[in-house]
Amino acid sequence: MNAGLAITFVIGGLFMISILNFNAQVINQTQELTLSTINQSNLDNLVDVLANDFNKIGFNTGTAVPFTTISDKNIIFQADVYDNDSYGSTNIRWFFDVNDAVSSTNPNDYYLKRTGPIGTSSYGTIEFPVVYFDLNYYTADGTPTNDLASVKKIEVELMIETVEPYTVTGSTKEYPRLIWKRIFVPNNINLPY
Amino acid sequence: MSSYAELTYLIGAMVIFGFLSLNTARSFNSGRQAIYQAEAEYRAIAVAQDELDKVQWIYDSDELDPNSGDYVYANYPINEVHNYGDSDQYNSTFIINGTSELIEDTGSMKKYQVTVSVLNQNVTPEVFITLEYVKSYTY
Repeated sequence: MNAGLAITFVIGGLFMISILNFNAQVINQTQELTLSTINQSNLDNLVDVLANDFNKIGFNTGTAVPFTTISDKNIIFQADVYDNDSYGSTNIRWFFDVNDAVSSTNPNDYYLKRTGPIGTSSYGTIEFPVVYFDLNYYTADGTPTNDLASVKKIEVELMIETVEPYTVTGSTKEYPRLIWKRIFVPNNINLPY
Repeated sequence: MSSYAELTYLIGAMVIFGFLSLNTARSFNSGRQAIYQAEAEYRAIAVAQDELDKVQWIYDSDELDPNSGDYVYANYPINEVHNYGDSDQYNSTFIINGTSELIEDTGSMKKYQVTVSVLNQNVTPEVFITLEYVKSYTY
């Protein structure tokens, strides 16, 4: 066998392997970046809806205590969350349903359900895939409380992951994750009189 | 001689390929960095909003007056550690600064501009955001 030909095959083979490897890495990183970008967009949308609802807790209700239920995974309150619908003040519920897993490839996803007005004349439930959702309630001076009448601040923590994974190496798969936390101080339960 | 020429071509191809892969890695790295940066900014904005929300509880205008002994931002900047995750497995340290400035006094109404800035040095380059809020008091 021609030695030169054999060496060319070896070098060419190595070169081809490195090109294929490079191609695989480009695909992985593209997946990671795309999934992360989609994830950020999803979080942004969820935070928009959530911030609108939580900032309007108690708005247009005529009641001093707008809360019906408060727990770490479930909150029901009264508010007129959207001005241009046919509803006045309604019950709004945010509920993290850990018994309702999302039928996606991500085994950590559960539905965060928001029940309330969803259009100008429709009332219903919308669902967001979320990995973790936690609520904490505080009095005006920052003391944790479970008393409906004493709640003045609500801390919301969210963790979301992408629906699809990207491949790190071989069978190792990763779901890009985002975490967000904020304490809401709704105007209507913090009036100075 | 011919084999040397082939070897030179091969080396040239490998160098070009090396530059290509290096630049691609650099490009992806900067994309990933932008995503981390965006998340850090998103969290910093939430922290600044938390701080501004507290201003709603300030009913006494003296607390926003930098010349008053009750000035609420007298001990700022402060460090605040935020824990995240179902078992608080992540954390970020934020340096929060707040200032207040009297921007209008009509004789019956005082208007203060509150500026809150948040610095997060957990990422490189560090994240710095500023939010402003105007609060009025009648007297």
